Amino acid sequence: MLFLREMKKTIFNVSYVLFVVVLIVALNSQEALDFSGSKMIRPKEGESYGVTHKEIPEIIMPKALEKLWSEFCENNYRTYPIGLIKHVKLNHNEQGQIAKILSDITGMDKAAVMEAQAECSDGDEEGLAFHVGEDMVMNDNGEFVFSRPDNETNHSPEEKNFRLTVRDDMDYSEFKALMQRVDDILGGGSDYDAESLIGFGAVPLSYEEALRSYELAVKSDRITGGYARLFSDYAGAMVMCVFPVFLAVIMCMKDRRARVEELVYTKGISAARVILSRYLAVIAAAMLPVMILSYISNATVWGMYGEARLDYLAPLKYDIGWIMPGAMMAVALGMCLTELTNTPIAAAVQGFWWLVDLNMGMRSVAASYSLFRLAPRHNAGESSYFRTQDFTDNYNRLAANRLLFVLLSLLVVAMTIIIYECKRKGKLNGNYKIRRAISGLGNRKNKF
Amino acid sequence: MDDIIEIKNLNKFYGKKHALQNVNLSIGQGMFGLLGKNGAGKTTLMKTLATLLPKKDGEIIICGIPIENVKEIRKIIGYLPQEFSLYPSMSVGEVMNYLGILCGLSAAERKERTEMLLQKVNLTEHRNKKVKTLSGGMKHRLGIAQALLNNPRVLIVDEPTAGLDPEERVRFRNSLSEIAQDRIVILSTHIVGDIEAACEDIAILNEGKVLYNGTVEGLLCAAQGKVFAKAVEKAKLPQLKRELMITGMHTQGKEVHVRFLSESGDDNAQACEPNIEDAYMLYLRESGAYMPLSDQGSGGEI
Repeated sequence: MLFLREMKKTIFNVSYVLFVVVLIVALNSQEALDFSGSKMIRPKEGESYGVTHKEIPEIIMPKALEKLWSEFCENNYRTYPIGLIKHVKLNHNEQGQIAKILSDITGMDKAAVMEAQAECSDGDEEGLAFHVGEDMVMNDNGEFVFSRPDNETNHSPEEKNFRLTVRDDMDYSEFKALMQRVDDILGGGSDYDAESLIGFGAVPLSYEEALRSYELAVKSDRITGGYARLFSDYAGAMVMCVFPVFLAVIMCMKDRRARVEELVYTKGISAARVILSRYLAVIAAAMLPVMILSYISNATVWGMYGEARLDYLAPLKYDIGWIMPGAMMAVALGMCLTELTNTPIAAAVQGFWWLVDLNMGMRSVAASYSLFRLAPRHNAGESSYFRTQDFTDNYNRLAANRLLFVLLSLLVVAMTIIIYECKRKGKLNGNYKIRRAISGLGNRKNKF
Repeated sequence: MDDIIEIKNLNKFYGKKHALQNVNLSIGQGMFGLLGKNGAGKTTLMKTLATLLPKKDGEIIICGIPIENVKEIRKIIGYLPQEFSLYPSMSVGEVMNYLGILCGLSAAERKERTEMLLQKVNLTEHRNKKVKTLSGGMKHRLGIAQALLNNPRVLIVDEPTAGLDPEERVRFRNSLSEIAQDRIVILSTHIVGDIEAACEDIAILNEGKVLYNGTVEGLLCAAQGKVFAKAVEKAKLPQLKRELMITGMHTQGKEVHVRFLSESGDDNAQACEPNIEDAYMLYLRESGAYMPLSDQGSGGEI
């Protein structure tokens, strides 16, 4: 009964209407509400089937080397430590360490590598004037040949070109370890870390692979699963991992704003019942439009596949299994921080977490289900959501991720119950100090 | 279990400030008034009784239940805080229903209690009105109604008449008197008139200490023979204020009739029957808690 009253309090509120509007606009902007134009067609021989990423050392090693060499010459390394791009410039000593790694990979002398870097940096000690382009090309043997400009006539013909190639006896695991060291020197978040190296392994999809992928989507996903996955990808990443926090904050601040807090505190009901009812009410209110929209979206393809056996429960499975844990986390954090501080700071905290998480996904190719991803991604280009193999291969990781967030959110809810009970008994005055600290920060900011 | 609240050696600190100092009170059934200036510690005491604040030390037993047993205490108390409101977009009926759920009442109990209580506080015909459309007095009455939802054995009401117009104040006091017939009602106020009209037993609190604990009659007896009245010219009023403790006055033409406290009065003064305001002021003065107007930096009229 209390759950229904709390849900009514959440739904009959302007903020909830805004939440639903944001949800619809976000999903519509990604065309995730109508898939009628995205029919999955059985592949025919002779077509192009797009690319996939595979861990093929022969492809990954030269391409990774190419990029590392290019960034080494420029002394401008692109990393994404918290998702957002960061240009890293190394000092002389660190550049020397990278040169040593390049030397280990290519078999070239370290001094030669440093000299080559000095050459290609166009005489600029900082290495900022080097331009990668037509000067460096990969030949048929997978070697990189750097050509010095023609106007540099003071070199012998032998010296004019030199070859950049992975040592013949280089083992892939050794290569990965060296690349991981590069990532460490760069401070993490680069394309060279062991997990991201596969990004260099782009290969065209063969007809057989495309056909197998299609058949797997029909058999395992029963077609609708792929669409539900794409819907969940967008709904989770764009809305449900962040916006429910506003509903939670408003719910928790409502008592205070209505000056009814002390009345409620002295009632006989337990803190656990109040918090759990409110938590479930906000989750239910947030999930309700998502569930409706997921079915509206999925139903747009039901008539497109004739006799095929579709999974009509796919949207429901993905709503609960994929989207809901993210929403549970956002709501739990929102309630906990609001009860603790009596401020809406949870919205900022969750917003920051979401932003970082979203940007971390930018580099992922597909099936980005690492354990601590708030919003798992499975969307790396056209029709990528039908990469059922990626999904099934990483299913356990996804399940562990979602389970972790469910457990984590329940833990945060338990903490919220304790905080609420302490506040009821007047034993938690920290919120006052936190509030003062926050307002103090605001005031200081205003001075500048 | 007896309907009595026993408070023994209660102490409460806010940081270094000693907000309640060895408070000892015994509060029985009926209306009990807690009188004191702003900042005397009334709200602290009320909140401590309502389980909203922890005590530093001492003992509080409410109807046989130690205050530490918060869960049981919450079942038998009703509380109306000094500053409160109710969900503005809910109707009167919805507020009662929602808070009834929080009291753990069944649907049938909520319906029955809501009807009975709204009738008791004269809000039955307003049950579909939104809270935000109610007047201040109606909100206070609704506040009392919600505090009685669980049929509490103890009702704690903190400064309930502040902000009410005189008519609403009288009506509110009458409602409380009626409610106090079969339970303990603790009324905290700095408005002496509220106590005079409704309470038999009172305590005067000042700077966290109990100055007086007893009946209203006892308080009045202590002031017997110490209250006088006389007429003075308006021009002499400032001087009189400096010399005497004036508890009331009214202007008639060029003269002002003043009521003041004195051990012996003077030739022109007539002894008067003390009222509770006189007695309260006398207690404050005798305990050193009274600050004369000159010390307050005010030279104007009362």
